[in-house]
Amino acid sequence: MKNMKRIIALAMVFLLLLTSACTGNQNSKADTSKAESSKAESSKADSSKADASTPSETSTPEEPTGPEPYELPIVANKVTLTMFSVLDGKASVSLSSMEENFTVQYYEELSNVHIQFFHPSSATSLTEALNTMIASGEITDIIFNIQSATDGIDALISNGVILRLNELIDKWGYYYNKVFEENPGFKASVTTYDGNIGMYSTSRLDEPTRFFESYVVRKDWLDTLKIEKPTKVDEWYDMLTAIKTGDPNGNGQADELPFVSNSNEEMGIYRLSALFGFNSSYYKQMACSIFDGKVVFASEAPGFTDFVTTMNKWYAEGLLDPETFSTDAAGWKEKVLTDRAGSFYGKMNGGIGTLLGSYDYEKGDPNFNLEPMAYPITSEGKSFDFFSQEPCDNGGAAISAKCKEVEAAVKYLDYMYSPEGQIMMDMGKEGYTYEFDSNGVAHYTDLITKAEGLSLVQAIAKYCIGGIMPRMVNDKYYWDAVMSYDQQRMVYPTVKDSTRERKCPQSLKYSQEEQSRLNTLMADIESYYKEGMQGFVTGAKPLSEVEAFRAQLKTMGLDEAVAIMQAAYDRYIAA
Amino acid sequence: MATPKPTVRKKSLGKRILKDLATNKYNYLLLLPAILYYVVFHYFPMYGAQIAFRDFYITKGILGSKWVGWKHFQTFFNSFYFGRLVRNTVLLSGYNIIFGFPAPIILALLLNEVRNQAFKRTVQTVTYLPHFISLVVSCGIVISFCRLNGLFNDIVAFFGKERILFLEKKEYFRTIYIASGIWQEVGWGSIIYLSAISAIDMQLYEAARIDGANRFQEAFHITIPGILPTIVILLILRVGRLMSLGYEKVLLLYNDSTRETADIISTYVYTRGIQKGEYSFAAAVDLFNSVINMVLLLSVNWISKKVQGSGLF
Repeated sequence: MKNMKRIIALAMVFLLLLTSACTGNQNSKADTSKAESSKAESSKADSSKADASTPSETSTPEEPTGPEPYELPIVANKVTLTMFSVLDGKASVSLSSMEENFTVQYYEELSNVHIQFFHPSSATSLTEALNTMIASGEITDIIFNIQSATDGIDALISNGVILRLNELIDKWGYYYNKVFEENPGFKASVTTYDGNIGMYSTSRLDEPTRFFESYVVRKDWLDTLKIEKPTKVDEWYDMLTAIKTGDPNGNGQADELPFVSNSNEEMGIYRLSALFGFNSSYYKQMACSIFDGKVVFASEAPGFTDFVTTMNKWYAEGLLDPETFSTDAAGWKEKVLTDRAGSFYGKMNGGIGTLLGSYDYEKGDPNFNLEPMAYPITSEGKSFDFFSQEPCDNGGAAISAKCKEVEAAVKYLDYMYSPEGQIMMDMGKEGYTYEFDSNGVAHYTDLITKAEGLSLVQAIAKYCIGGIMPRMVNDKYYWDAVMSYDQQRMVYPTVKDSTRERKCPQSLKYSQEEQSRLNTLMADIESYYKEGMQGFVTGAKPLSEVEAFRAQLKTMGLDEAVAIMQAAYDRYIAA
Repeated sequence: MATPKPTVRKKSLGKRILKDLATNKYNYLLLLPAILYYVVFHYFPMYGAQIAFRDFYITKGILGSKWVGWKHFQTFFNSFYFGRLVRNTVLLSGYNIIFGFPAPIILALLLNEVRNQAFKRTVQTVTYLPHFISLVVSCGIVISFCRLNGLFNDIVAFFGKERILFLEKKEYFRTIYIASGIWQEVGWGSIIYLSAISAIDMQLYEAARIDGANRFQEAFHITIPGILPTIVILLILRVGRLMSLGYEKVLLLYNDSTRETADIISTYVYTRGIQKGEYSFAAAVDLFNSVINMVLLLSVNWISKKVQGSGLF
């Protein structure tokens, strides 16, 4: 017993010593980091002072504002920058790091900027990886996907993690500035609540590149059943019923699944609310739509009860895949490729292109054909598009406040917006990875189109930066070159004419307080909303509870959340 | 009323520690890695638990973030999901103890009665094996077996019944979770009981047989009492972790349809904290969870001491 006491006493002393040592360490670390951040602030103040003075010095009467155009190389002597960027699955098939990518090396040759990549492990979420990097204080010079960090852009700037780019773009960002001039509204949508520009945003400057999703149907089945592509809700119902009962796959069983969810229900059943004129997909602007300038959450939209009732009916009649809420990408593909799925919501390349390419025409149906369908015309006589992209994405690349070669970093990103930069990032080097045909359309060479053992997009990702990070503009050359089938090209003309008047803008800006309040409120609302929807559709919850469901969402703070979004939307419209 | 002074004055604490260190230095050296492990991975992180009482921003660091008191705890207690999370955690863990805890004991008792060594070894190997499959893979197996065109539904269909969406029915979730857990861990868990059984004095069995006891009586009156201390200690440890079910397996098995029975505190902490980055809130939830765990552990230990006369400490 005495021994025991002694040991415990000893252990306590030991622990005390250790913890005090540890906390002491922590304090001193915090102190140095504080010192560093104040240093960063003062240097920032210096640089902004310098920025303020430069225009008066350099500007001439002919050129009152705006940065100067520049040529490659960006710097005379080679510099090295570090970059945080995701290694895309398409590239990791053949590369262990983007440093091995041909276009990255080619751009280095031209620009004299060497990039050392830091790829987060694919096992951790992007948010986790970014947060860890920021917390560690060792931040790469250029940070792609900065939007995934938990602290917003404003917080990152005010706490001295990343640079405010407004002045730097005015000084060095010739091509990004041009994008601002040519695309009204672009600058407003990349400027934060506090008026900062924190990143170079990835963008879709050519209109067709903003459309790459649609409803997709087995066109050969429609031909067999002698029906047209549906345009209205009733016709949708008729089509789905015909697929269910008409045995278009000809195996004598009613095993067809007229509508299946894609990789998950967000890319599935939730997209069907467009039939009723509102958006119910939480992944798209938190299930909000705009009705006459008012932000409306899905459960409050006029068509909500209709939507839920109809989906419940369709599910009960077997028109929706029974596994609608527990599906995954592999299950979805299997259903399409084994002639069971009749229609789904999908992507132009990852859906239509991949499936047409991997279908076994010899064993299966030689007429297998997938075609896009337009967004349906609702009872109001309009068809609504909620899912197309905007010129400016939410994501982009920021520059660390600790970056020593700020000019090189800014220009390295900026040049990617130049016409030459755009085609280089997506297509590589002319004469090696691509060539222009007589009509002036760029095509990948055989090096890429006939690459051994790689699919087209994988080969592109090995040699170029088309469709993967780190490139800034999703441009039309790449867009054109990756489409192998006419059915893919049909997507844009099929969906472009729908109105986007009810689409909630994807880049609403919130203050830090608003954002954190919104996150807290919406976390529980999201789960309750999704569980409720699932219950109503599958019949696990009776439809008579829809009103109670709505009321419950309100008691969970839906009104307050929507008011925050409304304020952000009003600011967006005013800007 | 003066108490008699001790004849030998105690040496000062420091001297006693030094003396103890000198005499037992190799023992302490052996203990050092374990102490270091606990300090580095269990005590030092407690320093960070204070973010539960702050509004933690990564860019500001732990010390730079504002104190907000009980705000995050209040948010959690007022949350719509508070009751459901606690209920699901307790139920899932409770069922897991009720069904999962006795399974390896029963297996060990049964194996103990097997006299054919070849058969015994085969059974043991077959039941250990699933333990070595990674959780992701074993859950993948469970999911594909439970699908509409999976093995279990093929069996259901063979008997002429309607195929069932096992994964989308909330009432099946706990069964799937616990049954697959038993399948994976029963063999591994039985090892410790088998070794406890082998430590029982064979003379007891001989004496019982001479007294005319049959196999059942031997098991009930000798084997089970013989391994009871082991069972109790493991049970105390198990109850102490009642609230801390790992999130991994639930995360791999659940979906929106089953969340009503499947969402537990640790998955909630994971989704809110790690995935959505609400570190302070998640820390508050987990801290609450740990406090409950500690209370449970202490009370079970106290009950065990009262009832059985021995506990963990």
